[in-house]
Amino acid sequence: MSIRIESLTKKFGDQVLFDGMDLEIKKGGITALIGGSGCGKTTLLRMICGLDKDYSGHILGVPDQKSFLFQEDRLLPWYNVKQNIEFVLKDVMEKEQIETTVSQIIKDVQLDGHENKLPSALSGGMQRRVAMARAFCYPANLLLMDEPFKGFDLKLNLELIALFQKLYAGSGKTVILVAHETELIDRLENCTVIDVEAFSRTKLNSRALT
Amino acid sequence: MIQCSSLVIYPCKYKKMRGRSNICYNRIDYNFGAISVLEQKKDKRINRALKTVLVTLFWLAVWQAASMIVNQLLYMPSPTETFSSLGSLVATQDFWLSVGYTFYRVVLGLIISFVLGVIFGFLASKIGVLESLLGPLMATVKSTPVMSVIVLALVWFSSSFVPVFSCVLLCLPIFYTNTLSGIRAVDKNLLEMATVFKVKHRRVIQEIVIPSVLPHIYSALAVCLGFSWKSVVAAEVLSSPKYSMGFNMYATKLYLDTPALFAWTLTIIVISLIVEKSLKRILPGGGTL
Repeated sequence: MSIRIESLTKKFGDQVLFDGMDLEIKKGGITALIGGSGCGKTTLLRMICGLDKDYSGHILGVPDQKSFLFQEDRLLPWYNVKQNIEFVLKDVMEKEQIETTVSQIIKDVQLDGHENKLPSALSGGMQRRVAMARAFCYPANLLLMDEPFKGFDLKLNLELIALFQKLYAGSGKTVILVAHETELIDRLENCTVIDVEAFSRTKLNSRALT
Repeated sequence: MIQCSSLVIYPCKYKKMRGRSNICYNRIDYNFGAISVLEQKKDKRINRALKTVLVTLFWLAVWQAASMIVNQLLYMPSPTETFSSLGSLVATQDFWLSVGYTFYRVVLGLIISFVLGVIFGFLASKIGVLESLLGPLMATVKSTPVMSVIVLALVWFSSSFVPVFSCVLLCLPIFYTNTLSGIRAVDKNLLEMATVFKVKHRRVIQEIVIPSVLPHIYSALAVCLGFSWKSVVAAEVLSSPKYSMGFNMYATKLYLDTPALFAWTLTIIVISLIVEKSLKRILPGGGTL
């Protein structure tokens, strides 16, 4: 089964963003939502996640358990790397399982040795890797990512993309991500690209890339 | 051979390098390194202590000079006169009973204002009606002069409870507004993150809300520590409970015993400093106090 969006209408006050949008997102692959600023990519992602419920229409097939990599890292400043990852796992995993999962993911994102550091003691790229580790090790089949490669230089972005692909490979997760830079998306294998601008009423020159 | 070297290294490591065998040179270096770091810390502490002593001596000298210029015991007793007065006060049982009772009133006042302020703050952040009701009340209490509160309290309560009441009226609005603003300032992004990952409500309160609000409550506590002493002693001067520092101060006015007044004032300053320093050590993350 896939995630289906049926006759979705979203308004901000008088302004119509989506008007009866229909879309299908296949499960088990990577789908990138692209489009210019303000065309509703992030809003669409938040609606899929259930963070924004102010719409009419239906979003079907979204699993109950889902993970989200936010545009900002959203790490708890008073918790160290390990505690930040444990924070989201404590209610869904047993204690021993948390131990192994966290130590494994910290190794995967190459942060071993930094487990006990607070976010403020880490570089921007490292903080991003913690957020990525947290989103990936959470037991959910659906992973939503809001501009995961934003705000960094090309070298760091390429590293993060490589890391993402390493974590994604074999995870069987459905990934929906919002992206700005299409050239970065080109580097992702097996990625379906959806241009949200094509559905958006806020832009006149819409085009479909699907 | 390996066994032998490990035998040598262990005593070196744990008994801080008693044996000076060639085999444990690396341990010796390590220990020397550690000692020098410790010594650096010790040096810093000594420097700080020296600075405090010098600053204290400077102000004592200023005080002494001022008293010599004024040259009137009634207006300006010298440090020596004050300390000798303090010395004779300390020897009496009344002094310790007064200090004990005033301290008790300050602590009681602080605890009541803390508990009520934090509870009302949390409730007001959840219940809009309560906030609208409490907002003007707290603002009124905040701007009411302490003296009118004390005079009113004298009519309402026993003389022993008046200081506690005036302390509560002064401190409660501070705890309330700081708790409320702390809750308002909780990062919405973090709360949203916890919602997505289905973190239990109890844990969100414990691990996101409380750590965010705590610094605001600490800053309220820092302000209230000073206020509580001032308001309790002021109320004691007017309400004159049997054992109280305020009453003793009032008595110094009656007997024109200015050195005793200075001695009592000094006692209050010292105790409130000790309380503040100890709280800084005890409270988790209390360094922000």
